[in-house]
Amino acid sequence: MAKIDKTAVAEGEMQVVAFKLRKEEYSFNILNVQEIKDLTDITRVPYASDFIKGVINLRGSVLPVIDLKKRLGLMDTPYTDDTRIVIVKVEDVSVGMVVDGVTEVLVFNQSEIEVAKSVNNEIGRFISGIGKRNDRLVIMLDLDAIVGVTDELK
Amino acid sequence: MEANQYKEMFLEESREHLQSLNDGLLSLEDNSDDLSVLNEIFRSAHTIKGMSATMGYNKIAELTHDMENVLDLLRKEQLKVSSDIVDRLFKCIDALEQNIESVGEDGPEDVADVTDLVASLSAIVKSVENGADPPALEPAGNETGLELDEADLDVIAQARNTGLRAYELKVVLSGKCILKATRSYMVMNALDEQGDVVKSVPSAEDLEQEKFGTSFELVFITEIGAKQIEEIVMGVSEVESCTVTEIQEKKTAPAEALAVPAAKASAPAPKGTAKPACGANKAPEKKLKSGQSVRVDIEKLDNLLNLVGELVINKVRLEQIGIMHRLTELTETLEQMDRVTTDLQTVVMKVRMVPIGQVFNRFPRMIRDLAKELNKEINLTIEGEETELDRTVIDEIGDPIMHLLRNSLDHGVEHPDDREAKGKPRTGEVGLIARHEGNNVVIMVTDDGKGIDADIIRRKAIEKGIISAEEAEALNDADAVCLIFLPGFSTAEQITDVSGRGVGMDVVRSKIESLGGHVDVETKIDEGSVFKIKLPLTLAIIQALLVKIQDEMYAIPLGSIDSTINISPDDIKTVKNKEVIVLRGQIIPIIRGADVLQVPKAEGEENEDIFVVVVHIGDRKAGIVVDNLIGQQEIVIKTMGKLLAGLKVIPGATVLGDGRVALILDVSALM
Repeated sequence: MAKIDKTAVAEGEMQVVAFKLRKEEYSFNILNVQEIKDLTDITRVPYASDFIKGVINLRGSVLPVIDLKKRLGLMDTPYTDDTRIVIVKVEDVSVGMVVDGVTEVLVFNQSEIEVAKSVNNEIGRFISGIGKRNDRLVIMLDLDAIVGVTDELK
Repeated sequence: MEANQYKEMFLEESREHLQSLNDGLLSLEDNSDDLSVLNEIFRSAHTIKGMSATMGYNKIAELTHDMENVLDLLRKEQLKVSSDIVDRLFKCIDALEQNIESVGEDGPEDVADVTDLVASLSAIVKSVENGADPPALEPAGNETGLELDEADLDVIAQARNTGLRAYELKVVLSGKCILKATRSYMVMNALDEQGDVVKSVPSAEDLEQEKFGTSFELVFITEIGAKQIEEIVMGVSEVESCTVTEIQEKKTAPAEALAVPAAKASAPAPKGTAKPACGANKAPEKKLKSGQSVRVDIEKLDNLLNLVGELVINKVRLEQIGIMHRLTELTETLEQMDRVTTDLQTVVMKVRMVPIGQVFNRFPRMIRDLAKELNKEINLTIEGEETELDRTVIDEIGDPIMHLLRNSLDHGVEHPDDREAKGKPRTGEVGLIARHEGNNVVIMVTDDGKGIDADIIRRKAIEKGIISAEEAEALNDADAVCLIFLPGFSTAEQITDVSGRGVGMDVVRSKIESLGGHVDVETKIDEGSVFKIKLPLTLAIIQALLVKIQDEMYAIPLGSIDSTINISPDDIKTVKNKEVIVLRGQIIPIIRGADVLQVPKAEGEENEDIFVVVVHIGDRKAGIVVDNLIGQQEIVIKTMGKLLAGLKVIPGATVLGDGRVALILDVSALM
């Protein structure tokens, strides 16, 4: 996956799925996104990490769902009709992300992307870059860090 | 990617052939005259050689090549099957296995050093070629084993009439020769320029397909002399030696020709007549074993099962719609569909079932080696290899069984002399038996050894501080014997290589329990022991009781449920600050489901009635307090993915008929 990312960037374009968390706009690389689902019943899982919202039934298989706002340390907001579950795949782990609403698919030129500098706050380590277009800022999230398959869960 | 695909195939097939090599050698050891077994072994070795050479694993190919040479000699009965040779071949198989597994993990193909093995194999071949063969060759030209039938003799006689001479050639290729087929072809080609090759052993077809060791024999009709023939043949590179003998006139006498095969029936027969017969025998036999089968990735089956599960869930939804809107036509159709989906589910489940023989078949070899190592005489009986278990169970059950078998051999069966002193036969009987018992599969490891002495177990347990002297007193013999399943228990007087590292039986038990099974032991002093493993037929679908805790739904596997009872809050007493209930005179600790599962407190009054699910793990019992009992149901177990792996209390989840996910409780983790 990472390889494809680089080539896409090298060609000067990056396609992302943009969505809202509270008032800000965030995005995932479209290559990681498998599908977008309406909110369904989420079953709470005891003893799981606090940012894991629970599990859902995705066409017969059981899929964990991450509360993205909690993961990024943002304040919680109630679910609305716009709330969606974005299903992403990192390495070979599929996981759902609860977001406040999906806005659109955007294509950024290399020149519009500002690569994240090492930001020292909590949210910083989850950010890979920021896409700018006119007045619009779209924060690009680092899915590896968010899903944390490699280190954090241990 | 491509190469990897082939590698997987190579690994799987190699493993299969290694297994059949092991099996073959074992039966060869028992019955050294069985040529069909030898042929089978030879074929397996040959296939491994071919595959590994194709994959570029030359070291593996080389070793198998040398094994093949030895096997070929055995097959041609130029070499007698001896336990020494079988041992060496076993060692080769072990080395092969190590190397092949290493290749599988992208390691080097020579983790096991094979130089010594190769040398010892070559030594065997050499000793035959230098020592045994020439004497057989010397006495009479024709008795090298080359069998001439009437047609051949006819041709030879005719040739002789026209002034040509018939020779018999034995060509030996260098052991290092890789393209043997090509070399043999070159030899034939060179000879063809000077005369006619009228017969070859093995046949020309086999030569072309490299179905021979390092040597082959020819009957050649020509006008040139023996010396010239030798020169021609030796002119081909990688030919080690060539023996040319003129076929004598008297050999053409039909009576003689008949006498030769008759007298040497054991030697030439397998080459000429018996060999094709063997092939014909083998082919249908193999078909019977494997049938028409397809190798499928287990992941695809899991996928299929998921899809079927989804289908069932959707069907339930449709049914609900049909009932809600009173659509009789729809409900009727759905009834039909119900039958199909149920069948489909059973079929998919059946597809996942694998005969336990897959696990059992590696034990005869292990027992043989172990018995030798321990200087014991063991007869292993295997029954019920055809018993089927879910694939996931099969993968996990091998180690525990192996451990039990090792224990039986090491601690159970006595030394032959001791056995004799006790009036038992010298050979110890060890049994491995699998069979269905209701919804379970039972696997038993039995031995007729010395049994387990409950008093020794008690003493050891006290020594190791596992239980106190009083506790030990209180235990009856059967319970005392079960102490061996506790961590840190090993009664081996002296720690051997085989077992008794103190990690034994408790590991066996925890593994089996993690598979949802149970292990038990029955023993009688000087009569032997029986270890009984009880396993659920499948891990993918289980019977479970659905319970509600607040608004959350949980599934408790039926296998661990004793009973469900309905009590009032007054029935709960406290002992040492812990809540208990008394059920039929037994004190049972209480686990509040809502507390241990951290269920968010819902508003509402305390229930008047309390539902308690009494569960057990082995002999321990506990009561889980729940808010409601929903009912018993067949559930499909799903993993929750890597992100949630390792949650002890919740090993999996299931999708309910209404599409919601219910978590499965692991009772043993709660207790």
